[in-house]
Amino acid sequence: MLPESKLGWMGLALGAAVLAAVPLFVRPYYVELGTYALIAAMLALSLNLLVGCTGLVSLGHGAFYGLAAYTVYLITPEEHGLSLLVTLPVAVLAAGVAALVVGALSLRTRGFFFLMVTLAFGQMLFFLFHDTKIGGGADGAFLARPTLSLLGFELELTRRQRPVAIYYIGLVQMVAMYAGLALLLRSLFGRVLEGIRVNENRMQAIGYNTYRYKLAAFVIAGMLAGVAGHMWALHRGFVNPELVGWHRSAEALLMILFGGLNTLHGPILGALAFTGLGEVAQLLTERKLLVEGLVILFVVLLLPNGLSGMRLPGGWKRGLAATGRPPAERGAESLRHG
Amino acid sequence: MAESRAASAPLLSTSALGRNFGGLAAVRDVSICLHQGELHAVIGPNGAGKSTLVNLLSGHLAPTAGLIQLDGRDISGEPAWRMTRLGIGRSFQRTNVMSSLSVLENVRLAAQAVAGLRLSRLFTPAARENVLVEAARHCLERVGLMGVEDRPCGLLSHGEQRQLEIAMTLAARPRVLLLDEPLAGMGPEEGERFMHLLKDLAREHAILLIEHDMDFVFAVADWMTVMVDGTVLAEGRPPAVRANAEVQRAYLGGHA
Amino acid sequence: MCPDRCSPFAIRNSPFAHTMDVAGLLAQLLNGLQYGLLLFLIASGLTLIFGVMGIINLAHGSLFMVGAYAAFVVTSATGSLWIALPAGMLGGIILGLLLERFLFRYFYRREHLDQVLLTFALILLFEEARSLVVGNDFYSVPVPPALDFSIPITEGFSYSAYRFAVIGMCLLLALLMFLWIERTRLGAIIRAAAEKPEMVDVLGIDARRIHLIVFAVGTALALTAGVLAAPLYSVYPNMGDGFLIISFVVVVIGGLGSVSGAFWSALLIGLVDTLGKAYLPVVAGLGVYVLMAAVLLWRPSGLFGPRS
Repeated sequence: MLPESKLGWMGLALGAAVLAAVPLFVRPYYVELGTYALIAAMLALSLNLLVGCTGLVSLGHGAFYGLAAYTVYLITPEEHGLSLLVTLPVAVLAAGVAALVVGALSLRTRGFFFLMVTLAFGQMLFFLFHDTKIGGGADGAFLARPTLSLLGFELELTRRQRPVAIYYIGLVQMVAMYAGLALLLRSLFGRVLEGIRVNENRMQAIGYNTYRYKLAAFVIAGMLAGVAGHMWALHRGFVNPELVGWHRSAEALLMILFGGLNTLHGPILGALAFTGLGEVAQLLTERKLLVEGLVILFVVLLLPNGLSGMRLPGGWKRGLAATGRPPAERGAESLRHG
Repeated sequence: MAESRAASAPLLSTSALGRNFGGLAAVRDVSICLHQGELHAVIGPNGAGKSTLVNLLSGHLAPTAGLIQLDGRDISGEPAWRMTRLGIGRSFQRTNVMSSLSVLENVRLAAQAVAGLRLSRLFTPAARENVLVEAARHCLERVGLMGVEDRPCGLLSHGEQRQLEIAMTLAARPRVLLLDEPLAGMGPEEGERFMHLLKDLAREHAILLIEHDMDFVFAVADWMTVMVDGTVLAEGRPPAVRANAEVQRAYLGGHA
Repeated sequence: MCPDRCSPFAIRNSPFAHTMDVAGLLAQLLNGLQYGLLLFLIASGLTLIFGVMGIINLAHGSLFMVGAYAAFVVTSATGSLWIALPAGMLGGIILGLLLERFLFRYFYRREHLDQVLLTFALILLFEEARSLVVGNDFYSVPVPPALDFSIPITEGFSYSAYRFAVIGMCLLLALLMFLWIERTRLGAIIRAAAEKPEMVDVLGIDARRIHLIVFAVGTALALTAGVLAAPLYSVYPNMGDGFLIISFVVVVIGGLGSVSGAFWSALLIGLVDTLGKAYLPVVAGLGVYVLMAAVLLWRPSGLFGPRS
């Protein structure tokens, strides 16, 4: 999951430096787009804890993201935004509690059953916000954005400064999430998740209650999605049912596959590339979904390991060890491609 | 030793254990005892219910009748992971490992399962968990699988994977070992080494062995149970079983 | 997405909504039955395709949408739903054959994630194609004149003849499916394939042909459901989404891969959803999800699936 060489670490550091420098060189519109890309990256990172690390393909992950944004809306009084230090923990907690309930039920199933159940529970939340008056119903609602205040001091920002400040808040959160996940995945807990991904039955046979580990991963992933959802509320100051809908979850899955699901930086790369692609597609063709659909087809058909899976010849052996697919399976796949 | 067998309380015992699949009884009315320090072999023709018996004891299947007791405590129907935690370890007939992980990591995961996970160590790199790594190395040494710790275990030879199976089972520090055809696919030389290991292990564990190689079974077993059609046909010490006319007719045939 | 129109339509179109009298209850029961039977047409294809090929087609809802739009286009052009129905079935078979032969065939042994993304991409492409060909407006499709009347059931209560026709049509298709799967040689092979995929190879049957047939039948059923549904719920963008997700709930409750499970569970969902929305509008569409949660707690492999 982590870079295996010094070169890889240097690449990461360089990537972080480039992201940090972006607001210095681009127009405000692109700063805001960058913030959106960071939010997407956090959502993809959080989902990858389930998909790439534990082998759980969930289609309801957007629910926790959207729920966190709605939580900010629900706790914020109309006239003035609350401090970020209040809204963030509350939103993350709400997402975590929802993930606990949904996970406890859906993890009783496996495989495609799990996928369908997570999707259905996610849609249940969608209907809740869509069909009732909570959060303005189908049209959504504006909210007073969380303020950047600390111990009574409020950071006063001009209209021009604010997007840049929010971009950096997003960047800091994303880097923290990356680092936290990197540590988590190297720990005993992370290794157990890896074991479950590779061979869950055997993990049970050697004494793991895999249900509990999967549930823990599901809750952590839900809370991290909550961080992303909270960031959305901070960034846009608007919520609508689309945030909870399953297209969001499917897009996050696509970003993961786009970037390569066997690395930790893959989802970030995928989210940035996908956001950029959507922007270009919208500008050029006005038919964003068409381009997205074709790109997904292309990736699924031709790049099964994503952007970060495009390796030089000779790297395949190490890649194989890292991806964990046994050679036989891989052979079958390439045969099918041919 | 016949006297000592009767005198000591069994470590693991079943009484009238049964398992139905649909209307079919794969195992019925099986009552056996495993004692500490004893190698108990279960033999029988294919389809006699031996593997189902192991699956019942290891928690992979829940019994539909009867009891399983460990130290006199009823543990029937506990899930597999809890059986392992209670001290019942098993190896699989077909090699069943985390094939993309390294050899050492497979065994370390097994050691870690029983040791538990403390929340304070949630962010400590697994490679720095020295106690577990040492425990894993010790198990690998014991089964004679050294020098390949860092290899992905999907790349091991068949015989080495069988050894790894045993090492993973041992890493959970079980009191009862359920070995489902551990010799399958091993060469004669490996089989020889394995026999020594098995005799060694039998001193500290209660072992239930399922094996088709009759020469091997008669050489190592302290006690034998013969199963036919899901139920116990005969049991006793190897010489008595070998001489049993019913067993001769039903299973051993001309072999003994 | 327009979930408002995805399921409670039956009530909205009924003159008896929100009444508690016997006639109203009867109307709701019939609505629930009709909705459940339509769901069965969608869910049975979903579950059959999963059972035999091991793939979940997220674009199955889009096929339903294609059927509804086909009904709109054909009815506008010819003025008759009677042409749209066979056209939808035939079109479904052809579309299914093409999709299987040139796309899905290569994905049966890929990882779940790849299958999910492939079929998600198809949803986007179907929606864009719909937008290019028909546009993004809402359209209503007229009920065929021959069925545009109500049949009196009791004094003071009559029920739409078209809805009766839909119920009859769905029951007929369900019966044909049952006979096909339970009584024919091909059906026996399909059942064997759903239970043990390797069986098919052992029997020396060309698995590819089976896959083509199953996929074409599943697709045709979804399109047929779309055609039948068009006069009931008008046609609109993304209309497949709501039906897809409710069909998932049907499949989860019915047990994955079980056609008879899908039948009973579709009826259950149809009734629970319709009656729930009519008599407990506060909890609105949540009823079916609560039901799903309860089933998962009680029997995670579905009410009608194999006990594990």
